[in-house]
Amino acid sequence: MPVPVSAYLTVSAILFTIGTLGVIVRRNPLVMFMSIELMLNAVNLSFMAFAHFLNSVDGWMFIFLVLTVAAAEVVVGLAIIVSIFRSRHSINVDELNTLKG
Amino acid sequence: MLLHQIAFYVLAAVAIASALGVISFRSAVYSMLSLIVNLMSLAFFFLMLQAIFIGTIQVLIYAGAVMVLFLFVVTMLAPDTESVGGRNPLRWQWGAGIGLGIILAGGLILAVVNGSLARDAHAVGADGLARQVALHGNVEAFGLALFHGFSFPFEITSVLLVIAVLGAVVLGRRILGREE
Amino acid sequence: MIVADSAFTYTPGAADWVRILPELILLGAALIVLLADLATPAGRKGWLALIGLLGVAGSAIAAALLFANGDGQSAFFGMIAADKAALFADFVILLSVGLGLLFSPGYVERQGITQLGEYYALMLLAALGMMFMASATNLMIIFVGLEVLSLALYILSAYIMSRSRSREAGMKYFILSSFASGFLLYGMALTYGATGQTNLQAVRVFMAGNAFHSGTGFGPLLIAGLALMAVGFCFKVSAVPFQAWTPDVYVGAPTSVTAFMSVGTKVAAFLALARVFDVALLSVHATWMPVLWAVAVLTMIGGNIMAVTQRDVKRMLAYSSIANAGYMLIAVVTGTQDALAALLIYLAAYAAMNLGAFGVALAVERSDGTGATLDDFAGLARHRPALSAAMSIFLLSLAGVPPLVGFWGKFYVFQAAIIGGHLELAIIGVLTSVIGMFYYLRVVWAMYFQEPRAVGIPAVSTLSVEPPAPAAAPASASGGGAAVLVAEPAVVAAPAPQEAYQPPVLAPGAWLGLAFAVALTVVLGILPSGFVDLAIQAAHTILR
Repeated sequence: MPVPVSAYLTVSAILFTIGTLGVIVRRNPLVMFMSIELMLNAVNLSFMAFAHFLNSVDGWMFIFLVLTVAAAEVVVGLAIIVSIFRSRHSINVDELNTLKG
Repeated sequence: MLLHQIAFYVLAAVAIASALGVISFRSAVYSMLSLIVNLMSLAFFFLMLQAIFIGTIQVLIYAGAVMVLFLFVVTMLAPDTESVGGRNPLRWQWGAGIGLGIILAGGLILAVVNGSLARDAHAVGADGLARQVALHGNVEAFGLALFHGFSFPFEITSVLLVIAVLGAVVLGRRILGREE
Repeated sequence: MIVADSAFTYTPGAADWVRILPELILLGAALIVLLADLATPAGRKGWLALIGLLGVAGSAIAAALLFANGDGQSAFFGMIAADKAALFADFVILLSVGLGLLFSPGYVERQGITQLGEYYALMLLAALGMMFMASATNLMIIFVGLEVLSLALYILSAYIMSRSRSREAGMKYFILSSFASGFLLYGMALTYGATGQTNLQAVRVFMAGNAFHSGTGFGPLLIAGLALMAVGFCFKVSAVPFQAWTPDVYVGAPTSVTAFMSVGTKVAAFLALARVFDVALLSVHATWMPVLWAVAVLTMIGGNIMAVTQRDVKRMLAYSSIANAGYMLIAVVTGTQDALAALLIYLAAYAAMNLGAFGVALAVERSDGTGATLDDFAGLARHRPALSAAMSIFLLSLAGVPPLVGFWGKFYVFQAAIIGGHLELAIIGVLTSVIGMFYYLRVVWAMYFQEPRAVGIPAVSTLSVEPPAPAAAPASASGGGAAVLVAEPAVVAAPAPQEAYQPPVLAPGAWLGLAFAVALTVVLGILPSGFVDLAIQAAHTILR
């Protein structure tokens, strides 16, 4: 009895939820960003499971796109975080008060 | 087959434990290392699902190149982030977050366990993935699809990379001018 | 099935490239701007905006030719549509990026933005991503187009590097928007699993050929996918439970970027939303409708009520854009062909009037990014009668006053809602529009019937921001290298703090942009039949 598709999807759902939780509860933007990466990868696992069990290539292509998008996002996101850090020496999002009001 | 199942459960345990590590370690560096473990375990899942090429690039590009860049920034900023941006002191936020998480996970798991795939609709015959892989091999099948039917999204990713480069150039520049 | 070829053998032909000609021209313009930047001396970066505008014009001409003569088919293995709805959306996006580019010279220098070549190129690339997303007929292209436009906008939001507010806007936008992208992507994954397709036309064929039960079969997966996609899209169009990022990002980003993104992102996201929900998944309309119905109602009420309490005009416009997203959601919820036409009409109307309103706010804004509050608008009519008249036209149009284009947008949306059986949405829309009337007209009232600010108050407030300004010139010159050294003194000298109130100075490009926006708002308002016909034509030939 091979592992059913729902097992893969369940793992994917759990990972996605953990990633969501990380974005909601953590206040360090680096960790929030890692949690977003976690979410994207959880989705990749779903795509992979679907591609395999649907016998369809679209899922593979989607994973490839997500990999590229994630790489580009890492570059831009880290650049923004670093530029903020350089000027303030603090990147705790609770301390970003300039925009309140 | 039993080996397959054992491998699955071990990998699932590693993936979930490392994901929990990402969000609960106090230090951003530990979170980062935990994320790399998570990405590696996903690469093994991909291999189990016979996607050899994607499993490989997951390790090489994602867990390798991208995460090294990430780790570099994290170690550069970590001492400062740990002092101010560690674990959130607000307990209720954790409580509310975990509550929301249980609801979300519950709903999703319910959906994926009860739902079945569109098996009758999937591409069979010439378009079937398994047949193409058997015919051409794993990497070739991937390449054929990428450069034929999916050439357009592949082309757009080049725009995405141009933007990423521009972003690095613009944002990575030393901050000039006045600070308010 | 439209797609007869296999994904493993399909080869794109010349016809495919012709169908994406508008996008190709815009991409070419962006790359030329980047190259020309190297050859342009620091003081003359306005030429880059001109190159960008030429690219936008060329792209618009290509879109017009395709609109008139194109075959309206999809290209590249059903990835991207060149149907009239896509081309109509392209027009609106090109209008917004064109006006955004017109507003930029002068303003960006005043805000101390350097690296203008990259700025203009990123504006064009963001517009390119919007056009991809609006034309997408495959979930993949929706996602990649969204990421192209989002990445460019993250950078543009954070562009004023010297201002912490701008950088923080960039980061806030980045974190929350990628978070929402995750939801959207997961929704796409589950939809793919449920239907076995990523091509929207194939999804539609699948839905037509398979019985849908919410409890069994592919139903549960599809419902979860729909819910997650709805969350992702609602975030992108800043609908109410997911709107928290909007005001902060809109206020923190450079105003020229805000003007462009407030319209362009909506066009792209609403077209994609309509293609996914109103075309591909129309057969399960009853399943997703209640959720989007509730979001639409919340957005209309919430956006309008929160806008009332704002004193900063940019912030007020941000909440007004949330409220407008609510009216557009009415069209998506209704989901008929008339509603799609109404959506296109509303988007076009919104582009003209909202860009215009942000354009005036940008003209009034001071060099430190403040100064667009109601107090700053008080008595503006005495110093700047033309600017005040333009602002009044835009605000009256946003409020939905009859002879202007904003009225027709609301009219067709509400009409489509009533015909489509959503009388309650039309009633809520009209009632919330009345609330909207209040905060739009308050600005008009301030401009015409309030005394200008007392001389003493601005003197104090400008004095308080004075100390950093002189210190900035040497600091930036030392850090900046030769190019900045040439550009910076002029930049700092222009907005030198004054004792008395300084009427805003506008660059010629901004005047041209405002005049164009006024012309569109008034002419399309008085003679709507032509463009309404085009929108109806576009909605009826949307690929399905």
